[in-house]
Amino acid sequence: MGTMRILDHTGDTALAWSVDDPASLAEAEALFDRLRAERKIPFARAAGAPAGDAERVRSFDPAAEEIVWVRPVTGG
Amino acid sequence: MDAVDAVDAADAADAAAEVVLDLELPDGRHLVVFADGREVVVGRAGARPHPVAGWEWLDRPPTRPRTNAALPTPRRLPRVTPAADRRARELLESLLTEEQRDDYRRTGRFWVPTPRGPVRLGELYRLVHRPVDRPHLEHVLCVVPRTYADLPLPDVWTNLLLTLAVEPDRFFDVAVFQGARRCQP
Repeated sequence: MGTMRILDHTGDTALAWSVDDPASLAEAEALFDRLRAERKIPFARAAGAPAGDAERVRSFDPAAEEIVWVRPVTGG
Repeated sequence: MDAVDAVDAADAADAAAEVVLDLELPDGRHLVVFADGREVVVGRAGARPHPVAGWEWLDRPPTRPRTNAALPTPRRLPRVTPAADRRARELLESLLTEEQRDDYRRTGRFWVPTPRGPVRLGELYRLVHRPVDRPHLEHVLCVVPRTYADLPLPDVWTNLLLTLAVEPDRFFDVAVFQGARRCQP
């Protein structure tokens, strides 16, 4: 079971998928592609792992435990 | 240029293109408001033409009447609720080490180690960086997520934390240097 968390005004919106559920997998993969197209940035981590153990992901990995989507940063 | 660089270049272009309001001013110029809050007036101010053909104004011409009712409504950002703030805080704390979490709960700030020296998050627009090659100095930097105004503040720290922890160059490449000072305890 994996989860994507997309930062937004609610804190974040989560979408879960299971490798045993093709429909949830397809939905998660489509969302991943859409967020990439929006130029958001995905970081994957093992559930509960600190940020230092996270890694940038380039494509959807069904085996990922948690993917946190953030926005590009800019100078203020 | 690989695909990621291409995306980054497109990011920069998009950052300049997110216009939420384009309003014609009475003098013919345009007020352009960007999603990140920047406001720019573009164009050249021109005298309003005299309504009678062939006549010239003897004094400074009046501006066009303001028609506030016709102004477009700027896009409103969704309100951040206490529940959203709590949820964002839970996510942030789950990404912190025990020491960082203690600091954050105690002071609202925490340090993130990077190859270029630690960066302190917790004060918007005033992030503190202690460069490894200048150990007695602190640099004050400003870096924010793009279009962050709709995010609960802990989400802003989550965004910056992950960027700093995983892709610090991405953070330092865009950081705006605000000043330097001697290290503070």
